[in-house]
Amino acid sequence: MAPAESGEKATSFAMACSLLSRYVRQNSTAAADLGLAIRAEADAKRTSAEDTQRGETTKETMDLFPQNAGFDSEAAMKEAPDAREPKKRQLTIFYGGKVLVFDDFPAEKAKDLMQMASKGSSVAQNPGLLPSPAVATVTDSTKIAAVPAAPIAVVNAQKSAADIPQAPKASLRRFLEKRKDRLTAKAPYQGSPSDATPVKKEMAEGQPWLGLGPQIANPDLSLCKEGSQ
Amino acid sequence: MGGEAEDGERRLGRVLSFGIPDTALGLVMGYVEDPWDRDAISLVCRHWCRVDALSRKHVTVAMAYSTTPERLFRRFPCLESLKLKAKPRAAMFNLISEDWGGSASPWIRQLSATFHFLKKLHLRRMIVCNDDINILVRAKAHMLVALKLDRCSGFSTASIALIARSCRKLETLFLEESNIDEKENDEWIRELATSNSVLETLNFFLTDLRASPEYLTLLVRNCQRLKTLKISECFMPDLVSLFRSAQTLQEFAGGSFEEQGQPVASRNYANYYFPPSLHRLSLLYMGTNEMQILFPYAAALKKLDLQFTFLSTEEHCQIVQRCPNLETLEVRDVIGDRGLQVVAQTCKKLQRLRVERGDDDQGGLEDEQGRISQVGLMAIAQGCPELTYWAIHVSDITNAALEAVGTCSKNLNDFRLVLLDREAHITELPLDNGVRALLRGCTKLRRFAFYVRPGALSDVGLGYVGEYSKSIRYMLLGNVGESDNGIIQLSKGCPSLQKLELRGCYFSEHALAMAALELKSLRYLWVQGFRSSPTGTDLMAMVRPFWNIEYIVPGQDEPCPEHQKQILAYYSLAGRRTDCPPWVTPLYPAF
Repeated sequence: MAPAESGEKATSFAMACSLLSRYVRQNSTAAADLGLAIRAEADAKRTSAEDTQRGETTKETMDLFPQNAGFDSEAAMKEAPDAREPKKRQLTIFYGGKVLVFDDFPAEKAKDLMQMASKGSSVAQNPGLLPSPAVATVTDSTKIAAVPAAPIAVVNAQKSAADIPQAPKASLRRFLEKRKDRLTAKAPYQGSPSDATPVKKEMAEGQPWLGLGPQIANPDLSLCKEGSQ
Repeated sequence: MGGEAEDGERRLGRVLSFGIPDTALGLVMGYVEDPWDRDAISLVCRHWCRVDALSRKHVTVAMAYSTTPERLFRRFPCLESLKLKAKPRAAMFNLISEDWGGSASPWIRQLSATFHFLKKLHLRRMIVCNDDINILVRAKAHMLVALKLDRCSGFSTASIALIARSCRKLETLFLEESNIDEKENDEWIRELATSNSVLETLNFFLTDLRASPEYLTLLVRNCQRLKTLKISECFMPDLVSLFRSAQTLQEFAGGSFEEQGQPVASRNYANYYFPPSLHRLSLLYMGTNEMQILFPYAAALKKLDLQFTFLSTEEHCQIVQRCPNLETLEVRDVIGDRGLQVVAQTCKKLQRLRVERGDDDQGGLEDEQGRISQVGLMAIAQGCPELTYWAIHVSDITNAALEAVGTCSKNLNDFRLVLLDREAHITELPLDNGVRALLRGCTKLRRFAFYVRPGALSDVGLGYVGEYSKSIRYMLLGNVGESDNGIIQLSKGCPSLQKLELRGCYFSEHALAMAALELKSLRYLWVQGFRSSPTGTDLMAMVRPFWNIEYIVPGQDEPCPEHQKQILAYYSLAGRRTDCPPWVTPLYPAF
């Protein structure tokens, strides 16, 4: 069966490519001995620390995506910056609807900043200065990381379902409107007693959600590459 | 980088390519067409990335805001075919307002100025204005072979007429489901008919454009290579001469059995002529009296779309049992379990099945038998082993049915199930074990949608989804999970998940942010229905460079119809969006 073969071939091809890539990177040090230098493209956004961390043959596009595609050694390297300097961490400030993120913020300065901020917020609230929902929140990123283990409230499931009714696909909805018109125009063409199936009252108005893909298009390569629709 | 360094690189490149010169490497790569394989090739080393880029013929940019036109050109200067998508998929369900964004203008300007080899362009869910088309035509008319404005809006028939007049090499003109401003009747069809003789595909299905039989027939006569014709509503008896002239036609959709919106007294369609080459059909508003039109051709049909017909369950059965060669079937759930059993018995070659939901405005069914349950699901699983795409709306379900899919439907690469809100009571919930069995069994699954109701998939079930979705790249989950634990468990797995859509799940902002950071392949996230944090800031946990986050908050006068906040987040090399409407708040870190 053709689909089975192509699926398996694809994975093994990708694995072969990643092995080849690893070989290339290993050999690049040997190549350096030959006097050939390979450098990553200069990128103003990246700090110099990150540059040396990531090695010499990485490309801009690869750096941005967390998936590794088999680059295990890179994953290990990514861990390093956090472990290296425990005294500097990421600082995030929410202020007036804006977000500011500072990497490698020294812990002491963060403490000072937080003390200053807590003093500042207890000062008289002048409504003229800040818009009402403005909350200044200074969080050390370690606090954010610590939270997920905390117990989480169980959601009131029934209530939530009624809040977001299923939505039909636009094309089908237009057709169903037309069908409704047709039924009201002439005699009902199929009797469907509503007592046959119990229906939730609040759903009577709701439109069904047709959470499906679009009209079936010709399966071309782009479908494989970029997902559904 | 000086010339010497580049030279050195090239030498190294050749060394690492085992002495194969670039030209040869490019030729070898040319035989690799699968985009995933090309992706793997481009990651081997910089040299191979460059050779791949120069030899790549087609690129799909799934999220137009993830890059800029200039960047795309810099990497792929020799591109012959481009597909761009912008608005979230939810736009097809009227959940995204028209002014969210997705303008094609910057792209078309770049394409027109550069991309000297571009022959095919496909824009999906974008806004294309008349000026854009003007610019495109002026630059590319002599080269354009395929133009698809797919679920787009912003242009009028005047632009279509311009395309028709100017693009004489056009083989494909696709406008399906676009919202087009109609200015001068259907003159554009006449323009197309008289200017073009190489057209193979014309598609304006599901648009509101008028189409007169005279001009359509003229088109068919002049375009002798026409294989696919998908039109809007046009009275079938008026198309008789069209079909007589269309000897190469393979696919037809549209037409209508109503004259100007008025249902007509029954005519005899038993001897309606379709060309022998025609084996893909979708006829609008076909009812009891008209279905006989299919009978002489049913045995040859490979694709049949009955989504827009007025047929009962029994009538579906009568048609399907005559179609043993069907490869694609699209229906509404009025087909019922009984109809699906007939499909399972008859359509052994079926590869694609779509069962949409029918309307039950008053809470009733279209037909007493018009509902799908585990019975129909199991019948199809057992009867149609060749299925690769399967989308279905069910009113009832059991774990055994999902297990049957996992056991029998080994070729599935795309499975989507929606559990309707019709029935108050479902036979068997939760569906954790069934979902697990399905995911373990369908090893080729790349796309998966599971839209159910609260209680149908527990946190444990979500954990199964995470654990057994090795190859799944796209997932839509609706009303799943019990608590934040669910999404956290899911995010520990799903190693290949690139695009995730969540609706009505009510996870907290914090949990969503954690999950987004944990899912290692995630590059696109869309959520509607979530628990906001008191200060609205928990989402910030996922703020990071190159990750664009859009917080969509409709206000009182805002157009978003569901009045529910949405989160849209995606990787982008393009930086901040500069065209957000006021009700979209972008969240970015400060560098």
